[in-house]
Amino acid sequence: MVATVETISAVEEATGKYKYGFVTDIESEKAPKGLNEDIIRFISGKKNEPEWMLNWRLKAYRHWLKMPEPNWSKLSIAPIDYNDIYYYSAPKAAEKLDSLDEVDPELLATYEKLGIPLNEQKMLSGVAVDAVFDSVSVATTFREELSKVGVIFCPISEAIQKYPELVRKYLSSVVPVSDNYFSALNSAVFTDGSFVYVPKNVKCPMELSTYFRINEQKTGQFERTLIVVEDGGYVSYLEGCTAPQRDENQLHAAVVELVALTDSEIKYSTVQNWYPGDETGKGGIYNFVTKRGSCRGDRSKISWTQVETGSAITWKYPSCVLKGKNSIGEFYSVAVTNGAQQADTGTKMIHLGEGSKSTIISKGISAGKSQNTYRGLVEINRGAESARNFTQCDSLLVGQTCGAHTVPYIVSRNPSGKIEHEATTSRISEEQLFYCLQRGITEEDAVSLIVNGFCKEVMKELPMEFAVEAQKLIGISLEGSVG
Amino acid sequence: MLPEFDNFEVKNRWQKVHIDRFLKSGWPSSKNEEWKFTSLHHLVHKPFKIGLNLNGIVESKSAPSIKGANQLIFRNGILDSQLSEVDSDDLVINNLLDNPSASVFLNQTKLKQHPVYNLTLGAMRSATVIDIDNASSKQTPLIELFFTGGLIKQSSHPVVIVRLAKNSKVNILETHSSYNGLSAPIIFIELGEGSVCNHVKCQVADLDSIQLGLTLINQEKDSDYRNFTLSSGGCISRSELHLNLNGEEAICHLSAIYLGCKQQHMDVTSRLYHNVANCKSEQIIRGVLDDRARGIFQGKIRVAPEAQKTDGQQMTRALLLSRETEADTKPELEIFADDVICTHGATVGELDENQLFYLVSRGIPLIKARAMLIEAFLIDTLSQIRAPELKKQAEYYIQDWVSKSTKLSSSTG
Repeated sequence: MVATVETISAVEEATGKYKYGFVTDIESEKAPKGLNEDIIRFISGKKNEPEWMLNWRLKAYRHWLKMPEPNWSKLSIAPIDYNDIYYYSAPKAAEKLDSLDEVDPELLATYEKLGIPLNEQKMLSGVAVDAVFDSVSVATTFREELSKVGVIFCPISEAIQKYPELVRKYLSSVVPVSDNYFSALNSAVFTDGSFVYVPKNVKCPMELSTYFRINEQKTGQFERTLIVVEDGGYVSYLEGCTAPQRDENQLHAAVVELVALTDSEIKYSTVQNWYPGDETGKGGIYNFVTKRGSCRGDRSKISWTQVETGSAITWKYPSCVLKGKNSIGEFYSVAVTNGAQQADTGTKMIHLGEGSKSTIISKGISAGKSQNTYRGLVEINRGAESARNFTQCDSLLVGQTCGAHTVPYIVSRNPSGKIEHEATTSRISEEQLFYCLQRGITEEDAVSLIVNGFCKEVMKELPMEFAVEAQKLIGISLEGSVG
Repeated sequence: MLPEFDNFEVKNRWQKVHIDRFLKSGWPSSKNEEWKFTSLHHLVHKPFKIGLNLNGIVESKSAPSIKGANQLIFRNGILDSQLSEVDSDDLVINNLLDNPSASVFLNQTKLKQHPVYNLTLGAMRSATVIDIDNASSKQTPLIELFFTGGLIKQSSHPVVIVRLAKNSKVNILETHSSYNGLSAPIIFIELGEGSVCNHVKCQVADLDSIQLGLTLINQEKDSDYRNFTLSSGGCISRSELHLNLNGEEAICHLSAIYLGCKQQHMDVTSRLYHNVANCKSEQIIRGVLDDRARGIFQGKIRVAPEAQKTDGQQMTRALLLSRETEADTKPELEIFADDVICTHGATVGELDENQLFYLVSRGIPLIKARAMLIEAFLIDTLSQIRAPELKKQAEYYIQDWVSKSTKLSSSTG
């Protein structure tokens, strides 16, 4: 078919030029390469961390040393030399900043290119930003307005200093230090991330957003995010990623923990567009992320929405532990892989509470030579009376050299629980295409129409700020490439 | 583990390779992804003696036998030619171990690391080959493979190979009714071009036994294979089927049911390889679990890059009758071709209260209503069995299990 040839060239064209592939030149302060207890002491010291935090890190590190690297995913990963990575790198503007004017203009220019709403003009759009530039959070806006209602939104390093009792109470309570290889590594060496605390009955007045960005060459990025919402609170959090072009693989192992108490709701949305590497996958980001939310209180709700288009390797399973009665977990995902990208992503829904409900909608699109795997677990435990799950994972294949895989695990320990799982794999149907062409729609438009329709269920879950960017991303990756 | 291997003499030297492989890997634990839900690690502490002769009892529960069947009876994994009765001219029966090409034939599969495969190939005393060449015959012969044995500390390792020549046809009834501690049979079926095979397997062995059956199917062009597997016996039961679609336009239909009560562990695993284009596969799996039973279904469909126009369907449903049961399902799709239609579906739930109420409100006793609903839940797995006599066998075991199960639950309240 002609369309297939066109497809491949269109895909190449679309992905060949990486829009966000630029490097910002800022002097930075680094720890020596490699990982050992001294490096961890160095990081902890740099952050002026209390004793308990250092011990916590060291415990994680010692545990990590004993763990084997996981190999169960459908990913082929070149061996990672953990001693060939810088674990600490901070922009040199070390003094405390009082206003945006003090921020390095070059840094601001970088944000501008990425379209981060950090300046006055963007403030009007009602987005507060805690920007993580490499490893240190440089500037934070909107804090005053947030503090009026009692919402804490700050870098986690600051939270460790200012709110140690909160951090101690919740840090690693959702993702234990020893949970998995990459979470243990993250616990040992994380340099920064975001901390959000929403007090009782407060609806956070704006959507919170953090742009993570890997910049310094050969720097692994290890963020740690902790979001706690008290009874009756609500927060919507946006996370977006872009990264400059690199030749060597960059390791990214983040941990995100969400805690939702009684009647609270957390909405966590991600657009991930790390550099995917060249056509052979060289130079792309390795993205090993542990994301987990705990619906501790009754009627609490956690909703994960993700649009994954970047990274050479994605290993990511945003999960919900549904402890509270009638708690709700949701997972909406679009994963697009292209070129030599590999994605092994999905979710886990662990039902513990009575009447807990979960919904999983996953849309995987693979093109080029990529491999796209959905891997998910739905577990209904003994006490989860009348729990309910609905799962739908659909895959779309573009071209004959890619793969789409589905690996769901379903464990039911309570007969009153109801689980439904559906999965389909197909390509764009000839009938649909023909129907559109017949009505004078060009092939490219038709394909874009159909793919948009394919992802619609997920896209409509994204907040307004993200919807545009996400649609653009999927457009870049796939418009006119399916046929 | 199996200390008897120390003085065990193999029939053929190449069998030693398999024994060594088995001893090296040992019984799989749950760390092995293929055995995630069915760990056999604890079998290390349960030594078995490999069955070497026809000792032990023959009598065992089974459905009424079928008239005109070619009966092959295996005791402790060894063919008992005295009790067996074959009178069809279409069948040629040999022992493959007498044939020097045996190792070539048996070693062609991809199962080098499979514990049951290695154990049985290493420990087998004979490999019964049934060749069928009856393209011109009007009748479809029925082969009844009956596996029995009577010593709880003994293990049996029968190997049966059925080879269908071009356009041949056969019906196979495979019944496992053993009292042996461990049964690990391997059944190979090779379907030649245009051949048709209806295969019904009933594993109704003693509840104390361990049943690890392996069925390996290879299908050539235009062949048609229908399998129905019922498992209700064994404290641990794993019914594993690997099927290769190697010729275009081949069709396969697999249906399986597992029925578990008490503390049974029932595992149904299938691996379906679409290796060439234009093949069709359909799988229907039903499970009913009572008491503290655990049921597992793992089904993988792999579509090779060449296998365009593949149609692969899979549907699994589990019915939980008691509060302490567990159902684990892992339906897996691995797809490397783009022009395919592959779907899988899975549901887990309990008996529908409304349906039960409807029946009871019309004067049907609760026990009967329950039995009706369970049977109705299982019945569509039988739709693809085309030989009525085979269908009857399956129905017999379903009804037998359901009536026992409902009686049990009514007595316990």
